[in-house]
Amino acid sequence: MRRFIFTFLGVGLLLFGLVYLPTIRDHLIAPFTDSLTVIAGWLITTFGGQAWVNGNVLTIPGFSVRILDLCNGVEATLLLWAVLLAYPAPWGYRLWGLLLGFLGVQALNMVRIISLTYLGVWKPEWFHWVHWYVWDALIMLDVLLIFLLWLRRLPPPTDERHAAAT
Amino acid sequence: MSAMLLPRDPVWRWFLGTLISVPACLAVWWFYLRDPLLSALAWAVGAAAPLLWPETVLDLKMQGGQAWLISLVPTLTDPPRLFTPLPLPLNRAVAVFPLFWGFTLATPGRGLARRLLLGTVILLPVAFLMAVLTTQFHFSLFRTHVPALTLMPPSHFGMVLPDSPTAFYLWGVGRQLSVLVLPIVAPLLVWLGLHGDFIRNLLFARLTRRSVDAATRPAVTPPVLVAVDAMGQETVGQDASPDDSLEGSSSDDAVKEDSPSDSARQEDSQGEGSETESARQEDSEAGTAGRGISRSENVRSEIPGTGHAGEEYPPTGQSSREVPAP
Repeated sequence: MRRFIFTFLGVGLLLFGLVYLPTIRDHLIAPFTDSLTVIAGWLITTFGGQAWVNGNVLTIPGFSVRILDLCNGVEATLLLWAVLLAYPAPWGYRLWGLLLGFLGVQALNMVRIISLTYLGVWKPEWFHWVHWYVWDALIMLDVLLIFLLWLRRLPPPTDERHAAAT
Repeated sequence: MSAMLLPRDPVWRWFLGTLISVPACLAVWWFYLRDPLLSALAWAVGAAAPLLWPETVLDLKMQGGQAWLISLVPTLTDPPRLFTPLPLPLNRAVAVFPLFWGFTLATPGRGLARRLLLGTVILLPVAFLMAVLTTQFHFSLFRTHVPALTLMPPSHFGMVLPDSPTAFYLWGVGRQLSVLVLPIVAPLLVWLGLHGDFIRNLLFARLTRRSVDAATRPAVTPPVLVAVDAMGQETVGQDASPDDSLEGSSSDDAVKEDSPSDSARQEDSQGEGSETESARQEDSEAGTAGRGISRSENVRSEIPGTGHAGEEYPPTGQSSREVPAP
């Protein structure tokens, strides 16, 4: 348990330290955030709404949002990845967890982006609270849920892995 | 009716409880507790500021829910300003409390008030650290006057030497961690630390199963066998070997081994054995929700051929029954 927590902290710090490097931010995170904005705009127009995308700015009639750190789900994804990498498990399961976890976090994050955009039109005074706190907690619970589901899919641990874990 | 709607799985029950309690705690915090907590945190940072940044900070004031840092760094304006107010966002630092409260309220177990109080006390220095890291980055941004992350420096330059690129980057990482990561992770870690039994028995049972098994495994636990003789009478004996039973049987289905739940139930009803006692103690520590899992693991470990955790017993085709909690 202790080893798991320390590995989690170490891997987490390493991942976050890498992601906040200016080069990584400019060449990986920024294009990724822009692509999320494009997907959000595409989803809104596909379901009959009106949306315009300019870089990382998503505009609907009456409100605009700029998608920045945290809103792109990178932090939540890295947290999940740190947990999955720290937990003793076969590498095949880990890789599936990393991939499906990323998709799970980003799927809910897309719901977050679109819902917040419309919330800005409907109840702008609620935007700040829902954006920073309610959705933040929900994304964290999403990370926890994905981790629990992944735990249940794991094969029974062998004695060697038990020994490594304890 | 409401009990029927609740999932039987304690993990899912906890998760659904969290989905309700976390937004509720966030609402209570936002409308009633945020301002007092912000004021207290601003006071603490303001008190520590002369020690941490003796030549940079004059004061820290709250105004309408917003903390303002009064910087002593003169600005390159005409005329130069001797004091510069810098907005200091502290909301995220105090948001760790409602998240922790929400997790804890959804977790079964005794001593709820003690756990809430202890976790809150542990989170106080974490919130303070987050506020300090955020403040430090704002100073760094002000001094260096280079846009960083998603923040722009103030329009005026501070008449002071900028930070080195490495120091600026590190303060940026500190700010990101304190604003984006710690508000989520800190309450979770404190909750994990304060609910060790719940975590071990439910969420991380795989990780710690070996130690649980080792702690609860009895010294000698032969299987309970029931031999049915030709007259149809049952003979129950703890030390009966399968061969012995076979000798007394007259048909193919004459020998049958008790299912694990049956043997466990017998032990429970007799109330004997160190294994039962230790499991019971562990159950009481883990709370009501943890009973099913720890009991099942104990039962598994005492059946020959099913020694390693996770193997299905009884084999496919036989029904597995839940061991009733004592």
